[in-house]
Amino acid sequence: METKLHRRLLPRIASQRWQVVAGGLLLLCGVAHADSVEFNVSTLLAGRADPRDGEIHTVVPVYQSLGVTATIKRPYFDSINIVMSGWGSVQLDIGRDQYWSGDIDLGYIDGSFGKKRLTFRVGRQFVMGGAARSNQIDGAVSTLQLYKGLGITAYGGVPVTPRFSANRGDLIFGGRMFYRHSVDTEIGLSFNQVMGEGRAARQDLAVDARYVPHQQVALTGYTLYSIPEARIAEADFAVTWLPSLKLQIGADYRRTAPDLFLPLNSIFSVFSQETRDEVGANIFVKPIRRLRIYGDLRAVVNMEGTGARGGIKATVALGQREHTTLNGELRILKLPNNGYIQARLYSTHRITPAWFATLGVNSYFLDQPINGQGYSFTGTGTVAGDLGRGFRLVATGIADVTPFVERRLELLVKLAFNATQFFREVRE
Amino acid sequence: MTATALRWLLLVSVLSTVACATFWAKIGGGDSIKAPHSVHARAKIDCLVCHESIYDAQDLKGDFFPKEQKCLECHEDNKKKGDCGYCHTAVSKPTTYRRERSTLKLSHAKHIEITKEDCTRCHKTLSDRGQPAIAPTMESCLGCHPHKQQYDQGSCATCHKDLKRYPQKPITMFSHQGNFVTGHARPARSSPESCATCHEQTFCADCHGKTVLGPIELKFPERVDSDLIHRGDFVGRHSIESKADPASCLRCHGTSFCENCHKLQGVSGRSDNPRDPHPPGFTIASSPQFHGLAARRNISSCASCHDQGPRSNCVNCHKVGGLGGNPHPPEWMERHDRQEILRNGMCRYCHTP
Repeated sequence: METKLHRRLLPRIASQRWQVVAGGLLLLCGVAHADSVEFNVSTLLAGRADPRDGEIHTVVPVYQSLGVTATIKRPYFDSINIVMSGWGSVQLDIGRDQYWSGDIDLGYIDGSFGKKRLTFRVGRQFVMGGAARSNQIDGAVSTLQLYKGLGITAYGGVPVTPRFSANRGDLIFGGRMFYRHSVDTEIGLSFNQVMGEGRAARQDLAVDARYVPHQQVALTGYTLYSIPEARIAEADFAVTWLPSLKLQIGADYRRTAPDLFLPLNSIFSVFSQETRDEVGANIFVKPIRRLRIYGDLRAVVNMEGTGARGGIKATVALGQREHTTLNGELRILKLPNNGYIQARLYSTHRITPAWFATLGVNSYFLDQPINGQGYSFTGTGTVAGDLGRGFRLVATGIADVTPFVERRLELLVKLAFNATQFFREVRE
Repeated sequence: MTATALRWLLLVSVLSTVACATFWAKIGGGDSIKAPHSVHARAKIDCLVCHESIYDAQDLKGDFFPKEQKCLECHEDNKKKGDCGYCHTAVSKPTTYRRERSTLKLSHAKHIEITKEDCTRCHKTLSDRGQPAIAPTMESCLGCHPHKQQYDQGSCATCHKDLKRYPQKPITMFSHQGNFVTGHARPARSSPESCATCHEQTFCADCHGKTVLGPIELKFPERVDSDLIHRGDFVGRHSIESKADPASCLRCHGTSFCENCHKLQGVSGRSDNPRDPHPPGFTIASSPQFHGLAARRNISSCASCHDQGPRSNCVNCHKVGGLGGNPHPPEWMERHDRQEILRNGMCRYCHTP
């Protein structure tokens, strides 16, 4: 059902891609004036079997990505940065068809004035923190430091639509007011609203805080409240104790209302009122220099009953220069009527200072078989190294047996190029 | 192939080609100097013999690499023999060392005095042939300088000129030990600026980007140590994971993401030849597998195939007067009055104003 707002916004969204292209060209003009430019170019070639439509398709995707970060020093600005990141791909479905695709991941210009008292960012970017969580938008974000750690962030724009997915909303806006006492201690109050099809798809209020009462103890808390539903969408509290760099112990509690993560303009948002609680603890231990152990255990409580998830992971470094590591991981997820056990073994070995190799096997044992099969195995092997002059090569082979494919082999080769070019020397 | 997709690919290809061409013109195929530290260390050559100028350096703006004349004090024979490849990787166009931009405020002069010329106190690992320079870790700085006050005040600029380019990992709140990947949302939500001091948005986009080319496991298969969510046979276990934590899936994937794949796999009602993925008794009210109970427990699972707005098949039975009855949860009317039907178009899928 369309509203006036929806009808007004539709043509704007249709032309959104050309706006991004135009923005990209403007950013390129900015890059031409940069003092330093960092390039990142990757080419990735893969070949794999893709089970689909009840048949095995042999697909060969080729991806090309490009990232550019330019830094400009100008009077009155602390700094100006121009960031662009995008990619294109062709996926050959052998003997059938070919699919072309591509997108811009990031494309923005940001800067700051007055020793970072005022910062701004315009373009395709992430807005993070508080009620915004991690949203990708085409829009503007600005932060103003008001007085002694008190500041405010405001943003607005159009949510970026994920590929293969529906529109995530026509408009997003919000803000966060914060007080930063120190690098460790901060409290924030934030608001986020997403409009979709002329109606509120999300309207949230959040409080977040972090505090280090003692040098070894850190506390974090976060509560997200849905205003139209008058319910808590998410509450998350954690404490970490770090008595030394060899020992870290943490405990956390999280409540979510999964139905409130559906947009409020979805018909499914009226069917349910779920809650899910998770409480548990984790420990990281480094008893000797060559051994690292991580373990965690959590109880999961939802409307189906009580379950648990947990695991243990150990890493041992071998050899005189610790060039080889052996790693083992065992994880369990048990729900009231389903679950799995994961067992993973892998090793890394540095062949030369510039080259290394990895080899591993990852297996899952399912409580309820799928297609009559209750397990899956994935074996991987990788060789990666620096070719010099900023070039890097990665070659990977993956073989697996899963409930969906009897056997599958995937090969992947990646050539990446990273470099920084200084066009002008910057005196500070 | 759509015209739009082709335009995008052409744009990215042109940009990539221009970028590569610029680099090859400027630095591509350039020379670098082979100076293996390990060989010089085994020969017991003191660091300051080659890096003389560092002795009085008050900052990192100078040029601290040895000039050719210094190398020739020991390797003159190789030059006389015309063995340029002994030091240069590209003998056809030899150059000097490539300059790196300094990101720290640091006085070598003071440190050399305090450490009594023992450079290994800070430089525990040195680069070798073909490797880029390896800077000391922050851990080795904090071994002597606690910088408690600056750290508490967030005055990173005392030492760091540009944190984005330097691997800083402070302890306690931002400790990256253990399984940091799965818990990183906590500090990030309450302090995005702290993350941004070290990490560019491109780093976040690798996992959180809505428009990225694929999962991070595909882009970086060599990162076997990272606790990435979709590693291994995720397709096989995704239904279990989504039941265990539905909100976790919905944070990144809209329900239409699920539906597109389910349609291709023939388990969605919108497939050409759909297979029924529901358990027996799904439409029998007395069955423990009844769909009403399943919907109350995990509505996002239903939405992953049936979320088509007014065309959703739920509407047929659950609209006012339909066979399915009232689908709202018990406390629904406490939060929503009848007037909302007039204001919210979605209500009118089932209700008449």
